[in-house]
Amino acid sequence: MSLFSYAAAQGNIRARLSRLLNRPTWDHLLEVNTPAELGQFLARTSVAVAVASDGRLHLQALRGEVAAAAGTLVRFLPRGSRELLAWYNRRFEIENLKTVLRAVHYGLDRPRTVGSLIPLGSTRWRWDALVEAGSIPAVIEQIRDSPYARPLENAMERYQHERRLFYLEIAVDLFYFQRLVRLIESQSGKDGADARRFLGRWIAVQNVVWAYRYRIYGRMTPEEIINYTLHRAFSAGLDTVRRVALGSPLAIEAERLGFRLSPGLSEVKALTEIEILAERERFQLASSMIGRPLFHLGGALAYIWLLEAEVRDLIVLVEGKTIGLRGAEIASRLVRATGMRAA
Amino acid sequence: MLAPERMLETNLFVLEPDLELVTAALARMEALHLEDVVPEGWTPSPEWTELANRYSSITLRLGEILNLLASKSMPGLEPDIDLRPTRDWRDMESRLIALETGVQSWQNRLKEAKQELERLQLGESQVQLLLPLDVPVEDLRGLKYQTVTVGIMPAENVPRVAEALFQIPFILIPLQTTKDRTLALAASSTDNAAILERALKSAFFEPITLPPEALGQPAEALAALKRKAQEIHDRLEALDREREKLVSELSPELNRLWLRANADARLAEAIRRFPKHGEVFLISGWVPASDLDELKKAVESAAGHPVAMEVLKPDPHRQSVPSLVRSPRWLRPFEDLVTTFGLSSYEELDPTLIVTVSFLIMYGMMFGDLGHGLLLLLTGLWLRQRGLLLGVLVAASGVSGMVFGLLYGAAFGHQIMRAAWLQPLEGIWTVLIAAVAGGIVLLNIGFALNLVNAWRSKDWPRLFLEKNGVVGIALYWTLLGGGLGVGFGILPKSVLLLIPVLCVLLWMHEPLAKWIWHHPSASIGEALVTGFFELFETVTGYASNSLSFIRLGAFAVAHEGLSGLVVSYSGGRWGWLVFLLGTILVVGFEGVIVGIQALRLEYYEFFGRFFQGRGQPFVPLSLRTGGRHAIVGVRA
Repeated sequence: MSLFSYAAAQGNIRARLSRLLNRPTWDHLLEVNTPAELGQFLARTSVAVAVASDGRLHLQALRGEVAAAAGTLVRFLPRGSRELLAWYNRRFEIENLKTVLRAVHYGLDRPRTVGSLIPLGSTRWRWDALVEAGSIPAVIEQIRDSPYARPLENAMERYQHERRLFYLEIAVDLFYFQRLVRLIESQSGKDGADARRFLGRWIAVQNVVWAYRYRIYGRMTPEEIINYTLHRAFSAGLDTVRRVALGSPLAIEAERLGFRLSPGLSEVKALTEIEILAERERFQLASSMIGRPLFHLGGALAYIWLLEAEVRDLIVLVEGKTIGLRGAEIASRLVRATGMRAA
Repeated sequence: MLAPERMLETNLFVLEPDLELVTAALARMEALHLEDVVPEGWTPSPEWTELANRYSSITLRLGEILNLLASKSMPGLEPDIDLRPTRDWRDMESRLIALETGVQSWQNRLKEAKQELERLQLGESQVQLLLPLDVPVEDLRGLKYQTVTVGIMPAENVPRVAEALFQIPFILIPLQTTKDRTLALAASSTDNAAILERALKSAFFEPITLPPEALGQPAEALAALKRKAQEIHDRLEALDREREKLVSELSPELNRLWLRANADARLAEAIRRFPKHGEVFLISGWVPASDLDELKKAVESAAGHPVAMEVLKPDPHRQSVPSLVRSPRWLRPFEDLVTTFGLSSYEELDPTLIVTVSFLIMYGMMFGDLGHGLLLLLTGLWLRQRGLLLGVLVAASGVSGMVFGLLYGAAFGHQIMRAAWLQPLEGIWTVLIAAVAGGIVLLNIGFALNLVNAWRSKDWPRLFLEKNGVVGIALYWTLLGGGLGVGFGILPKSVLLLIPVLCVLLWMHEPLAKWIWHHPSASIGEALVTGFFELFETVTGYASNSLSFIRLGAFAVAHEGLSGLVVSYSGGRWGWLVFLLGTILVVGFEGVIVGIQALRLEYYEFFGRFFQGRGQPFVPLSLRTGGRHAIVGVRA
């Protein structure tokens, strides 16, 4: 039966693929001189919906579009992979939740916070009401019916003792990724292989990056690093985390993951390089998959990743143009190959 | 074919004293989709933000009491209720405080009893572990060489802590797990106390201390704790009886207050978004043109002072205009066929009607059998009876299958009568050609709709020069009609000379659009390169899109073949079982396949010609959750 569901998903994806910005468009975008010109050009493309009347690109709106597109695809998929993709798509909701927690914790400007949320069409909560909840316990109370309430409550006492938002954020992240891992592991056959190839690989890289971040930036002890990372993360589970926690050099762990880093980099720069290499790998995997018949989970994931890569590159582009970087410099930071950079 | 309602941008300049009444009247009417507009020099009013927060807190507190008392009945809001958010909250707050006070003593006693019980149960679990020891419990509280701690942590973190403590010898014993939380005992030597503490802390372990009642030998301490716990259980039963009494006394007022507070909250939330200049508030939004007069009357009768009203035509190129399509009632069950793909934008025609008709024809053509169609019809009616709107679509597909069953003369795989049209297996070529011809008709409807949509949005390059515009259609027909005409000797070969001319026009469409309409475009070189590849894709696309419909015929043939196969194996003693299972397989299996195929043709081949589906739904200001138009398709 899954073949039928995927046929519908494929129809949907094929019909929407043409909305992605193509290579000549990217080349042109890199050549424009100012953010205003950029806005004018984008207003004539498929991302026009996120271009404000003053020419500014509303990037969160674009991310909302990705969430909506993935939400539509979810409806077509067979039950097992539908549950997996729906959970994967919840990362946008989690991102908004973290934004809300940050705003409440630091007492940030409320309208600005609401403006920085990803617009999610169908959602369980009124985000602006959450932003105005006034306190973290009040936020948790309002999301009591959600799966995030319990992990947040677990971390609440620690948060209240130390007033560090980190505990709440890591509690939600771990909860989200642990469930994602379980859902990936529950997939079988071709869907299972796709889930591991796409999401499993992504989670493994994330886990290693987290462990190094805790070690390099957080100066955490091995026990803390192990407690704040995933123990089951496909090719980078507990053994990898233990090695990192005990001081394994970044270059060695990167090589184990299959990334060849530029020589002589500091750990901080090497970490950044791993992240961009991983994103390029994701993009290439998605691009190569999208050209094939899409009657399996990989097709849906590839399409979502292409959408995400587009938003990610648009963010880099807008930021690059805003601070006055040249096209070639921006191109070197994109995940896609353009006329100015071959991936 | 339905066009979205014509929308008008409406700006109402309302004096402060009339603001609440006018907003309430608008919300009751459910005809204004609010728009966030803040003109230069206008500012939102902080007092309304404060009021909206106040109502948010009131509804939350009321909801908490209702939840606490497990009170459920919720009648609708009285229709003519006078809503005044600036005034209502005072009454509400004082009533809420009275209600909370009424409930608070009970709530506090309940909370205390539950906490006490939890504490005692945790203590029991700890003391139970000590039963084998022959020492008084109080002697274990000050150990010198061991660090022993008991506490609660998330259940899933227990194995994680064990992994995190890989560097030291330790003991970790889960004692009891309730509601995803585990009571655990952890111990290590005093030297390693810091590592143990860090590991536990980062696993959200919260230490607890033994209850003071736990004194003497472990067995005595346990008995004392159990006696105390039984007292608490008795207290909780008495509290539940008290709750029932509170519900019967407070529920009617609580419900009334809750509904009113919700409506006031919606008004305050809307007004919070209105910018203000001096004493004047600006209410800006979109109104369906057909509702404008009624809206004017509602505003005038609600306001005590004149209300200036500015009505502007929309500029969809500059503004994001919401889309509202009022479908006839009978068409609503089929709306999902379109909204699953996307919502028609303001400038697009809503294709629900044509999609419904074409989907049902395609479905019937692939699933033509009186008997199988009847089964599908009955399944659809059963689904509908169970409250599923999808049932209507299934039933209609069944009827379509029955109609084609008559045309094919088939029922349950048997040829029961002379085919009114043909038997697919006997006339394979006819049915395949008919399928492609049907596809060509549908594609051309798509072309036509694209012309209308382009005309409506004044997108001249799309109307004239692009692949689904006039030039594209001309090329399609020159390739198809011209090719066939020349092949059959009806048309002269010179007709084919049009092909290169149209190809060049299509190839050059971007530079031409720039030249004629000053349409923004990439550089000439880039436009020519991308134009060339687009042209190639367009020409091959015309052929593949048309031939794609051949599947309609192929599935019709396959359906007859598969049904015939079931019939041919249904002889003998167990023939009825083979027939039954075979029919279930054909109806279930093929029923789904042809549905997916028909959807695919709609989404990919048909929508690709004209439909973007990126509309913004019309969601009017309303006092109700959901409101008049608040479904995904936003129809009423």
